[in-house]
Amino acid sequence: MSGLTPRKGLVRLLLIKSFADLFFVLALAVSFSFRTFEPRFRGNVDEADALHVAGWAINAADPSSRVEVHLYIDGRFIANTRTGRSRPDVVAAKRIKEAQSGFEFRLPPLDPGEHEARVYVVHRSADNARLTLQLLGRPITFRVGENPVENGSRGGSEVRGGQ
Amino acid sequence: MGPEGDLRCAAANDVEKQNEMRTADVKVDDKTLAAWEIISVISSVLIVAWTIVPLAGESRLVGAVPIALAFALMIQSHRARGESLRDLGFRTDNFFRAIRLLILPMVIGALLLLFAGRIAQALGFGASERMRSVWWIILGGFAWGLLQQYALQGFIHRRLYIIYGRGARTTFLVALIFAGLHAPNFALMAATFASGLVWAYVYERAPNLWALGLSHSTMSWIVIATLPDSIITGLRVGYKYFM
Repeated sequence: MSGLTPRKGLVRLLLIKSFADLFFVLALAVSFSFRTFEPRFRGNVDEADALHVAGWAINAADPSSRVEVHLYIDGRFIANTRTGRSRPDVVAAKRIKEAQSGFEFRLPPLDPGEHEARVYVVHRSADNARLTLQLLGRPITFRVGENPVENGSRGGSEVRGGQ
Repeated sequence: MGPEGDLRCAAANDVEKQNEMRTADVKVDDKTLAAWEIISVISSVLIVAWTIVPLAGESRLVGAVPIALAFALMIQSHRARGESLRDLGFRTDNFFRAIRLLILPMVIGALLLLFAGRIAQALGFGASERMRSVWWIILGGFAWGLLQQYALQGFIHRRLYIIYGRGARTTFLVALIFAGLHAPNFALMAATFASGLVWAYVYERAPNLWALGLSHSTMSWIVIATLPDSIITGLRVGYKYFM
């Protein structure tokens, strides 16, 4: 029986270490995820047509900060900007408290046909070692007509998708 | 017996059952326990090699956590099994016997590496900046070699004795584990498998960790000095290998 105590201690230590290893890796993964892929971005792409793409975005962790957003059309980078446009409608809908959360991209001329716009929010990790893009809302599909005059008005573009 | 007596009897049975369960908790087969210990230490090394760098950068503080856990386990294991430092191989009486066993494979290995380095035109003898520091070679290299040999031979090898006894199978498994921990650096895996066989063979006959640590650091330096970085990729293993 004299050998039982250290042996029992060893089994306990093995159990504790197994759990400690597991929680250690989990903590690393969750901490990494928070630092790299900030989960508290909110926003949406509300409008897309031949002339512009607009929406709103905030970082719920720091609502007053200006969020950097990137626009991709059909998978190609088009432009980047920061939020700062007034969006009282979103505030009125009680979705956010920060009014200066809107963004708008003016689009370059696009080929006639259907296009897909994706807006990503940019997040820099604490040490700036990683820069990640996170899709805002859903991709939004819009059509550009053959007629430039028609494209000049919102009514000429068909918007599908988005929230 | 009245209702009170029945209750007392039932309570006594419960306590007895609980005690049986507690006893059963520690009735882990010795071989299973040894296997669990090996897996636990290997998992600590794998956590350091594969999760710290991608998830926490190169933070030494974070990396120290699984290493500290592994050392706590190994120390408690030695205590539980009544192993002394001498049992593990921290001794001097068989140092020269171990060196005698090591010298021929080391010379052959060094000649092969020199030959390979000459073919690859990579003989640098200090190509790496940090290798130019004599103190790094002597102290850092030896300490690192000794540490690895302690974990590999003084712990893993000795636990494999419990599972498979002494012999070729244990020697082979020690080398296989050692090589596996150097994944995915294939050149290093091949080198560590070959050297792991030799070191395990020598430890079985002359368990001396000082000699093995010396051999380990010497051979590491020869590998770095002779083989091109394109082959050994800075001795990087785990996730770091891809960086």
